[in-house]
Amino acid sequence: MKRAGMWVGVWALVAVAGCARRGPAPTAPQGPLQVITLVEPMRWLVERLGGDGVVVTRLAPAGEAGLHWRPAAADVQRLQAADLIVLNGAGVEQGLALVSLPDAQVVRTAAGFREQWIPRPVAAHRHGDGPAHSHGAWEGYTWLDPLLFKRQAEAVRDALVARRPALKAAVEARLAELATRLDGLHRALDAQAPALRRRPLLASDRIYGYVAQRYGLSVRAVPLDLEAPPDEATRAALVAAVAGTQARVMLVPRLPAPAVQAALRGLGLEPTVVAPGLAEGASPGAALEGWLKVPPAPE
Amino acid sequence: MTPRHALALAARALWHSRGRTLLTALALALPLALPWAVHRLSDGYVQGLAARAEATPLVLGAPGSQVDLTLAALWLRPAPLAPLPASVADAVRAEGLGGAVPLHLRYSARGRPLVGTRVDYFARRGLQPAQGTHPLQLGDAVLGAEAAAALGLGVGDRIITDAAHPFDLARSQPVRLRVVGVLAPTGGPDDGVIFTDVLTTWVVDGLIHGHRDPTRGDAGEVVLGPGDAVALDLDPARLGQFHPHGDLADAPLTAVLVFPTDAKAKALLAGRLGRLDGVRVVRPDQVVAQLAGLVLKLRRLLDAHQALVAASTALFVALVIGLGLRARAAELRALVDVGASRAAVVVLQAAEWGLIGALALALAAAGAALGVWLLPDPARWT
Amino acid sequence: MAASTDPRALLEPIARVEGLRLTHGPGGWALECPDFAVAAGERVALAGPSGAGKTTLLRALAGLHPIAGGQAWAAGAPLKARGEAGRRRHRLRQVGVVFQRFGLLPHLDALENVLLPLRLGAGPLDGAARSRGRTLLAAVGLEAVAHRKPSALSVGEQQRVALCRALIHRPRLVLADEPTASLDPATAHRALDVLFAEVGAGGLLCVTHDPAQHARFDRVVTLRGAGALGVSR
Repeated sequence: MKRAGMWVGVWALVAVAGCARRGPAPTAPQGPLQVITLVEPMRWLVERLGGDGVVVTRLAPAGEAGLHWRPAAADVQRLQAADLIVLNGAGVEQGLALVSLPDAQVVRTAAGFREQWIPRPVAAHRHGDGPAHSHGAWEGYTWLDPLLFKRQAEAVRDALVARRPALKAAVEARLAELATRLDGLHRALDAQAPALRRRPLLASDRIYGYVAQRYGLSVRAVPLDLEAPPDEATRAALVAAVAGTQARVMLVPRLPAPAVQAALRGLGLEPTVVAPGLAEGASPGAALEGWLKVPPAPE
Repeated sequence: MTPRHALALAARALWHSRGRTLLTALALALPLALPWAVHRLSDGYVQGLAARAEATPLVLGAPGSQVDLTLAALWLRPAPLAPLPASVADAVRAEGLGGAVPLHLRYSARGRPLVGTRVDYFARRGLQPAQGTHPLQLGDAVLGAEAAAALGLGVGDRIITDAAHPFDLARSQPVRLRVVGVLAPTGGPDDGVIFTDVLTTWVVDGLIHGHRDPTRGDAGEVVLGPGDAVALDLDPARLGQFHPHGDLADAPLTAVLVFPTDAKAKALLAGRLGRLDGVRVVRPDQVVAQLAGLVLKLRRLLDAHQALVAASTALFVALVIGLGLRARAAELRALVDVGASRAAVVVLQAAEWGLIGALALALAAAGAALGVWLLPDPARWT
Repeated sequence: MAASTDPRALLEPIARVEGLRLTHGPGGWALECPDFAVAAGERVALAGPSGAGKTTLLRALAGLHPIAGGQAWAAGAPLKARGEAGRRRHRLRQVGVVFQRFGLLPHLDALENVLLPLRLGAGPLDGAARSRGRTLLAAVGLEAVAHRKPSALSVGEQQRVALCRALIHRPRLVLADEPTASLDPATAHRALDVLFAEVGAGGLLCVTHDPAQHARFDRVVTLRGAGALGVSR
């Protein structure tokens, strides 16, 4: 729990610094940069680095995470009029895939590490007598890996500075501060990783792939409805997964319904919330606090 | 005799024999009008080429004829060019040295080239909608001003892409597009075409299609029955069913327009992009300089021919003047008898030929202007 | 231009020839012209058989034929001493000539032909001049055809237009070569009336073959060819 305390401290600093350390923004000759994002982590990142030099709008409506949300024609016009559109670019924002975006204004922050993207298994299908095939898809949630998130922050820095050179010093300073904290978080997670590696984990969703990839964790996804007790098929899959992995922890993005919690505990699984960082106003790093609640593996 | 009296007498003489005057002026005007029109057209052509090339610093395409590539990419003419993967545009942007605008020029709609691109194209070319918007989503089409006028289409109308060429192996099929905008006229090649997002042209290619989303839910095979097929009417209500068939990084483009941030970036990009496999970097200004050189050579040839015609016309005019003086000898003698000086007679004759020359020039200018107006815009010849 | 009213000018002859010799090119015929003069206010008819040299003498006095020998004065100026340009200017301003073949310009209407000397510099071409042109044409019965081109006029009408043109600038000397040859007697009489009236204090030398007209002149000078000259009343 000492390590857990350190993590909380790190993220508290990040969050506080995000609010308090903005300082006076350099004068923007053309007014604040109008930036549009779709998912909360990108909105947080742009606002955090851009300070007063940017006005960030998350286009997806309140309560909509932006993973599959498809903009209407009027929303597309807003996108086309933006100074900058900051996207994660991997896995999420799927509703923008077939929209007429102004490419010159679009920054896909995860594009710089495409080789690290994790493919998502998808259903295969056929058209008529054609061969069975599936369409490529990628896991999202890259921001849950502190090092990948740092690279995304650098991509945002580049985009802001290219469009508003006057912001360079302030943005660089904020990035340096954020990078320091992300590096610290990475070191803390890296130190925690050996203990976590010894404990196989189950997860109700596919959102933890990048963290698992970074720290060599074993996280097996078993899709689970968090609102209704598991049906027979799901129960069978859970039983098989527990038997196969000896897992004692089930990672969930939010606290399941009491009946679901009871069912999981009945199978020897402790539901542990590790948030995906999509909640409005939440910093992505704070989402990782959920990891601190994962019971340490026995030595 | 004052110049006013000389001009008055000359004008009366010319009006008296107006048929002959007009014929003589026409005989002089025709050899003037032709080179005049040719020069105006070729100047317009060369300037049009140069301006377009200047506005398009680099063009990327598959290896092949750089002239074909330049003409296709700058003048939006469908051309049998090998495709380029869409990832090339991403590669250009990744360099951070300038913008990249994709072009897909394989199809047409009601005979007009269908240009698949991104909204960036409109910004780069300064194309503003006179009505409606730029393309917003799959299936949206924006018409050039002249295309809209010629096809009689406006915002809210539908237009179906033309059936693909019989030996098109890409299994393309017609798609019904919605007209969401009409561009303000520019006088350039953008006026005559139909724009759509490159994604829409990939629908025609069959690379984006619509059916129930198989990416949600459990992995496993989903067989799509006849009820799953979506007609190629890109109804906004059903756009959610459309998705790429494979990685669009491999989707075909005809060309990528590259707009470096500055001259240094242009040199760097030309060098770096030239090293990409299967990519040819073309500098339109160099290609256009070659084309302009060819045009100017042809013009010089025509000028030499026109010089001979002008010489023969000059001889003809000298003959006409000589015959005219002989035919009007009695009239000129009468002028001298009454008291006109020989200089006044010369001035009178000069005034008559001056007026004929002015009439010939006016006719030549009108003829040249008419020729320029009647002949198609040279920029469209390419 | 207008006939002078200076008493000294009245004493000077308007036209005079002394020992005048005219030739027609090298080896051509030569005309030894006997001396004679036309006094101010005098109307002189010039008669003689065809080929006697009447037209040539008239053209010499108009400065249109070179003087081979002797001297000729027209409208008070010696012609031999003047160059071609001087003779032309003198003719344009001081002499009016009615040519045997009229010499009308085909592209000008009757009035414009009458005004031609003014366009060429014989005097101002203003409203008064145009009015005078129309008055002259009316005087010879051509008021109705003032705007017809020569091709639309009869020969007689053309001859009267030529007569008016010779008078438009009020010359001191009028040289008329058979000015009524194409006119019927009545019209010819009227034309001569106009001619006599317009000459006024100036001089008139008029070639005519019509003996009936001779009586209207102050004097008839007959050129008999080869230098013979007879004068009769």
